[in-house]
Amino acid sequence: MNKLGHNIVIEVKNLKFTFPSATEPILKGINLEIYSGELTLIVGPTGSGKSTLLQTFNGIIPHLSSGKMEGEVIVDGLNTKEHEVYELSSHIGSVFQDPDAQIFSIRVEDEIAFGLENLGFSFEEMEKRINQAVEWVGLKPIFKNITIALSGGQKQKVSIASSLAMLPKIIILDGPITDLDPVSKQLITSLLFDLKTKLGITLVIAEHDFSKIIEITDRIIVLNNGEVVLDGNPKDIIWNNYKELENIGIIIPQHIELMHFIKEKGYALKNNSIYYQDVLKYIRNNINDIININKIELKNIDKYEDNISISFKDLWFAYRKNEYILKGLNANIHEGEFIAIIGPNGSGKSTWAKTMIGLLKPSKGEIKIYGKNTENLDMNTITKYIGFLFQNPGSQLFANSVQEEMEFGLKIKEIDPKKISVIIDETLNLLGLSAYKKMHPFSLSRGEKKRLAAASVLQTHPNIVVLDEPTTGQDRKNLFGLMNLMKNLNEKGGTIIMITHDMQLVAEYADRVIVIKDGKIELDGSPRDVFYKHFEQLEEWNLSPPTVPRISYELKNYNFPMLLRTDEFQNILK
Amino acid sequence: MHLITARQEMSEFLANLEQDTPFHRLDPRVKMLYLFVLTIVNIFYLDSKFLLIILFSTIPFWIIARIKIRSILPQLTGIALFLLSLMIFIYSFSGSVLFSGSEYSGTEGLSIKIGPLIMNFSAANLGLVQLLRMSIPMLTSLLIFSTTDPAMFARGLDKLKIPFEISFMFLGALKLLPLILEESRNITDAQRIRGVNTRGPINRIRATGMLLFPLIINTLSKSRQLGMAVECKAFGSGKHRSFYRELKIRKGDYIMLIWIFTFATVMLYIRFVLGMGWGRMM
Repeated sequence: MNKLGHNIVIEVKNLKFTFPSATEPILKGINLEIYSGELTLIVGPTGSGKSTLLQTFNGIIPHLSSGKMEGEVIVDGLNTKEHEVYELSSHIGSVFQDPDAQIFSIRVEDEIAFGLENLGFSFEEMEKRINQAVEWVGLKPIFKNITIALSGGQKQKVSIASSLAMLPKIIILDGPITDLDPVSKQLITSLLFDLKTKLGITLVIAEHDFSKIIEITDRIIVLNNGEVVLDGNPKDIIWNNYKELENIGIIIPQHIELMHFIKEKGYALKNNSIYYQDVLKYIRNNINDIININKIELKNIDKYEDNISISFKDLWFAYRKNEYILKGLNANIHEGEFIAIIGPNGSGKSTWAKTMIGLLKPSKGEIKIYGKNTENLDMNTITKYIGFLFQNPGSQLFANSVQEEMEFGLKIKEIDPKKISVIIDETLNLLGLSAYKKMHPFSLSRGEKKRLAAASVLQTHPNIVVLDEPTTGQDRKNLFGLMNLMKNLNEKGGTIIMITHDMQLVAEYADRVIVIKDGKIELDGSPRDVFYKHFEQLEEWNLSPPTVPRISYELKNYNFPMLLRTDEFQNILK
Repeated sequence: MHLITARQEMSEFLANLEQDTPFHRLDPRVKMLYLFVLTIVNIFYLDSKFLLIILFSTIPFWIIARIKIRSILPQLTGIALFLLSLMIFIYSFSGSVLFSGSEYSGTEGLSIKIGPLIMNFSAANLGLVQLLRMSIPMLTSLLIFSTTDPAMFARGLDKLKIPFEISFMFLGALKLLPLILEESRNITDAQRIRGVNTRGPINRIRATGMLLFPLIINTLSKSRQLGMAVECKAFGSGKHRSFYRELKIRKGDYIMLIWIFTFATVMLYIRFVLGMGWGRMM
């Protein structure tokens, strides 16, 4: 029992786990107890063992995984070594990261029934539980829908309902909101809160981006290198170990970062809040004491005078006759701009990106790259100017070694053979991949694959780089590595075009943001202008600006400047 | 060159399931029986006239089921390409591998020389016959798949005492197919951008080879994830499995059964009692 009198539902004793080909264990001796009715958040950098730990809770380790497990895990009184995964499934439900790869059925109702069918429940009992789960999760409107057409957030809801129907005491969620758009993230976070408070379900969640989840967390466990380094309630852990958390590589939510800057200056020393509303309230109440309203030097780079790298004139595109996805886009992209293209799902963002690179030809209108109409250019010529990074790096790697992968890109471009190995070595070095030269691309980690894909694109020094959803499947550390690379390129005069739904990325890196909705450009300007002047409109379109602009907007009546980043906030503190 | 996204294509195909027509409402076992009977009757005929009659007898069901041709265009194209290449390459040139030496071989009658290959008309006719024989079950399967909810299908198979593991394989494949399709399109796009030449058959084949490895890895990864997810929902418990969906034989099913029985009787009568439909096909 913990001090609140909650029972222990998961007991972990001296847990060690080593993957088959590894020399060192990934989990190095974990001792833990998880208490009933609590929401426990597990954080840690990539490779710290979060997912592996969760897999020891639902029995995937040891039953479905090869590798050596030492120690014991007792879940709801059952020793996981002595009970198969299916036995444990009625005690502990599991939700995974990829919304697509965990739904088996074609229809929502069948998916929710799936677990119950496997356990042989009677129809009456099934119907009762299914209706209950649908009620709790709020799935009535889409109960009969086909799963493939659902949004990411809806799919995750279905997976949660499907686990819930088995009435487990505990649900573990491994990165449940990582791959979701901001609106879906909020949706799922609220749902999890309801499950905990209204149904008393114990939740154990592993996540990278916990800026919303932290507000509903009872306990936070920090893993690093396969060991528990911090464990306790969120407020204590964060405020007593801030620097250590940063050093480990944990990404601190922005509103907490702001509070940290405030405390660093000697203010709010007794304020231990980690809630967004409290941070906002504190700043509002103390604005004159802590902020230098006049000390504002906000950069707004205007590149509209420079050369045009790509121009779009009345661009229309339809896959099928008269079903237009792009409806008359007009825009000029200048050299040296760092552009973010944002828009709701289905707005045409990806389609637009594909027309830029020549994968799709315009149905009407024209695209010119450095003054040349793309109609007259073949793919090879276009790719001399533009590099394209796909969402999933696995889609664009196909050689047998890292070196071959790099060579392929250069040979196609008919680079002088003598220079090839020099270029390759330089680029690999720049991206920290030199050690992997002879390895097979697919044996690299996700982050390394993305860097390799970037390397193969950047080695020919394209003037323009297009990134399609750079955040998907990336942890923050790898993402910043990639983005900093782009920033360097941009500072040297390259044009970067980034398609994303991550507003924080927009605020941190872009100097121009284009909002596209239903195939039309709705807004086009600097992030500061777009977020500030059109805040409510963006909210309506489910394109919520990130924390710092949000706080700025909510304090606009107090003469608060329109900030984009946490470092700008730091600079205006007294 | 893809026409629309893979996901959209799948959604359109699955939209056929949403319709509610008398054909949709048929018990999946009845539909499977219909397919079975058609296939058997098919086998007994070698005369294109009768095969065409069998083919045309299925058309009313397509109409009743209100299938939108556009939504099944990719599948139809695939079937058409497969059958055409079969007809051209196996049966029409210089005699067929299976039938050489028999009176059905393609070495009699009119021939045209196309370069080093000889295209023979009686062989071509044989090819047409085989094409029809194969298209009938293939097209009817397509009709059934686009009008039957996979969950109902699984229930039907279970009632026929087929172990769930087999239905599971079909359902799993159905589930993964759109994901595989989408991924292969992404990979081909990436190839084009990387400068891979896809013009011409040799380059196409090479490009497909390059596509296979990342595609397989990706598919295996997704199947593994799916596998873990279903195990976490007690799949493979060994317990007797129950089903959420129920099946009921209704009036429409009886009507269909009568049709199937009548059709089978008539066609078999024509074939075995009247002795028609197996003769030479010139």
